[in-house]
Amino acid sequence: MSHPLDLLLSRVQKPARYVGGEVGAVSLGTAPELRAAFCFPDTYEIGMSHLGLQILYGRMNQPAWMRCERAFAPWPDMEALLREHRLPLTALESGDALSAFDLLAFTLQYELSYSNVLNMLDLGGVPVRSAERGGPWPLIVAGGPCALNPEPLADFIDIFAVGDGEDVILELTALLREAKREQWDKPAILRAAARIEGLYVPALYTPAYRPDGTLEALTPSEGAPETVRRRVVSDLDQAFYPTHPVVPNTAVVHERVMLELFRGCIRGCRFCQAGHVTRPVRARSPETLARQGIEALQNTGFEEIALTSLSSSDYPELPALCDALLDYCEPRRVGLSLPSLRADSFSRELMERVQRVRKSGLTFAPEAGTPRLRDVINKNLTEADLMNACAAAFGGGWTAVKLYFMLGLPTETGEDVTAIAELAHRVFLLWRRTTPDKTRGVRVSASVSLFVPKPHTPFQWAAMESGGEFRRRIDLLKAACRKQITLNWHDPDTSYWEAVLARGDRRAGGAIYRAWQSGARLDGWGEHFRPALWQAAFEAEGLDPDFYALRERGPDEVLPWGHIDTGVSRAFLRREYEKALRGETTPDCRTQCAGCGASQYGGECGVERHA
Amino acid sequence: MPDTIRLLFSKTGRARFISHLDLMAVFQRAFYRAGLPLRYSQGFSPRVYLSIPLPLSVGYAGLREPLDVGAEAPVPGLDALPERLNALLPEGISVLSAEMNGRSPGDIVWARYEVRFHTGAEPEAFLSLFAAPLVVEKRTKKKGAVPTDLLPMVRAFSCARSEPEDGTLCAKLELAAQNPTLNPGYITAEFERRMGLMVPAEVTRLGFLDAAGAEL
Ligand code: SF4
Repeated sequence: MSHPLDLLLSRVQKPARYVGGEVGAVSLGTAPELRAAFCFPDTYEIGMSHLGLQILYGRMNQPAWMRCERAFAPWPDMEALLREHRLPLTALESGDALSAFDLLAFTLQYELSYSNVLNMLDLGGVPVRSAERGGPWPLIVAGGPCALNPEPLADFIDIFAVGDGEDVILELTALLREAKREQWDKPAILRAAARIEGLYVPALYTPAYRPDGTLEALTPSEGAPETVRRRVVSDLDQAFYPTHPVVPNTAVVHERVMLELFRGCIRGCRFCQAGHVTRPVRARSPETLARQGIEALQNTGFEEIALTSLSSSDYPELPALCDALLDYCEPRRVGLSLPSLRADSFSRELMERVQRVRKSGLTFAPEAGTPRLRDVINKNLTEADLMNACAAAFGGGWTAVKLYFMLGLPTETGEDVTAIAELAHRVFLLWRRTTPDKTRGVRVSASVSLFVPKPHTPFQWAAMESGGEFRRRIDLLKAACRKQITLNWHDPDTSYWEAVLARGDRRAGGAIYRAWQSGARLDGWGEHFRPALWQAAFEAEGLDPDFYALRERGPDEVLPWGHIDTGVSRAFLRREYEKALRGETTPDCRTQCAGCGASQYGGECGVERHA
Repeated sequence: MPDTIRLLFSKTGRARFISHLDLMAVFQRAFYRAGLPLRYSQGFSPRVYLSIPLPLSVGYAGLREPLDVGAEAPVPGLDALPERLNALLPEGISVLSAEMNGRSPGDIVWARYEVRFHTGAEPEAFLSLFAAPLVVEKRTKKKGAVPTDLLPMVRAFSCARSEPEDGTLCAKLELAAQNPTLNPGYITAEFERRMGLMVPAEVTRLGFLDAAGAEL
């Protein structure tokens, strides 16, 4: 007889996202000692486009004694049917409920997926709060960028993994295997896990608050460390790469092989969390990359390969790597894409080679409209760089350029806002001067996100602008934009709640629970996001969300994520913040080491310093 | 006529929830990986000539579905192709045979289906559907939904309790496959409505017949 879920599948949108059976998915075989499910708290289409999922899924299926499956957040139509028929959320491979697993490993990519974490646990038949789960199984672990401020989810997650996950997850599963064999109780497991570097066990830490609502201290107990040090994989050439990724059976956001050239970033843009929490730069060799990329193309049949790193043009061997890949790709009609090129190193020759198979639009990220504000955020990109890159692109026949900007950056003035429109217009005028063929038209778009201060960045102390102020600045920008520019902007409510959760403390967990209970789901999806639920949930908990989002923190304030040690020192971040407010820039790591602290992890650090 | 490889494949189990467009992409990737000398379109994003002439509705299984893919030249050694492709295809999609330049898909006139209803009802309940004109609102491309008698599009029908008895009623249908197409969903929906069935029927397309009623 068929699985009970099958009868629901004919009644939901996009049923293929729930069925599994893809090329590259793990086969069931004999019962393993330890059963894990990698849980992506968003839809299948988003999760299956994520390289981290493929890496950790492959990694957790390496040991013969364990097996890892996958689970995703259901769309509301499926959730309604599951609840109506009292069927649990299941993992794709076995069709077993999440409650049947030993380990559920969530990745936290985005603050507005927190309600999905709770919802997936509940739908999977797992009590949502750690304290309500009596026995140890399933144990809930979470990693990813949002685990760098774990506190808002501390009530729900048993263990957070900080930093690169591929090694620490197997250290944890080895521990769990032993714990299962010897039937440890949950406190024993948690105590042992807290001794593994990079694992944070929130139950072993007690927060105390000051009368003004700020944190007084977060005190460890039972031998847990004062600070939890981020894990770093130092040799990426030796690190696991999924040359046999799972190939989705249905259209997902990105259907492509993803090659990670390097982790880390030499740049130090002050708003960027990824650039600060993945330091230092660790690169793969071009030989390794070409071999892995070609193997993955052969194993998937994908028609695109993307070079994904924070700033791909900072990869010194980029031309050689592109040549090696194109030798394979061109005759096979496989497109090569380079999503994160910097305008200052834009090479028309390189782009023309890359685009020979498929021509895509070009994107550049000046982030701010004026040189002054670009100095504040340490985005060291000049208008001349941008114009040269665009002139080369237009001359080469490109007809679409997308420019990324941010509104609400610290010290932003009205002049900075309208300068975005003027800069975009100058790009348009440049097209008129440099295009070989005016009849084809051009599309210059400005895509504007709203600045959200993030933990572990120089702006972690900064206040965010209020929704009303954002609306005013968006209106100002709209009025300043000529009709030739296509303007897109983010929703202020979405960005506000992202900010609240990003810098929340452990008390925010109560509000997350209430918001989920009152129906918050898929908050990252405009059509499902209901900010009023979040407002009501925070009020019911006696919390002021503005306290988290809009407040400037003092230099000595105890930060809720202060016990998470990314390797980049607080003193460095503070120095950077103060330089930002003075409009002073900091050179990139290759030009001169700024002494951020990440050199303790090795990598490229210090090499150029002595050169 | 350019050279074409004709495959027959089955789509069963949970793979029946893969949509027509997604299935095209699934095959496309398998063909790339198999390294076949395929014929590509010109232009910006070249595509292989790939056609699944009679798409299955999402949720239906199919046992002998045709697929045509353009080749640069006649491909030798097609006997080994099904096995080679099956190693590259997802669970539930399986290639049964491959030949060069099979009969034109235009020769297909009737499609044979097996339908299982989750009901304890006797076969007569189903057979009575066909006792008088079966008029339902049928969607058309041009005029929207129009009341249509389905009987002229039904070549044959039969029904029995499933053996071994598993709580289902098993019907066999031969329905117009194209110009116009009769989707068995019209018949199953009508029966489910009349009987008040809550669990949707399980539909399997067994194969195709030409105008003379010969199996293709
Ligand atoms: S230690 Fe120096 S070189 Fe290394 S990441 Fe920090 S600033 Fe850059």
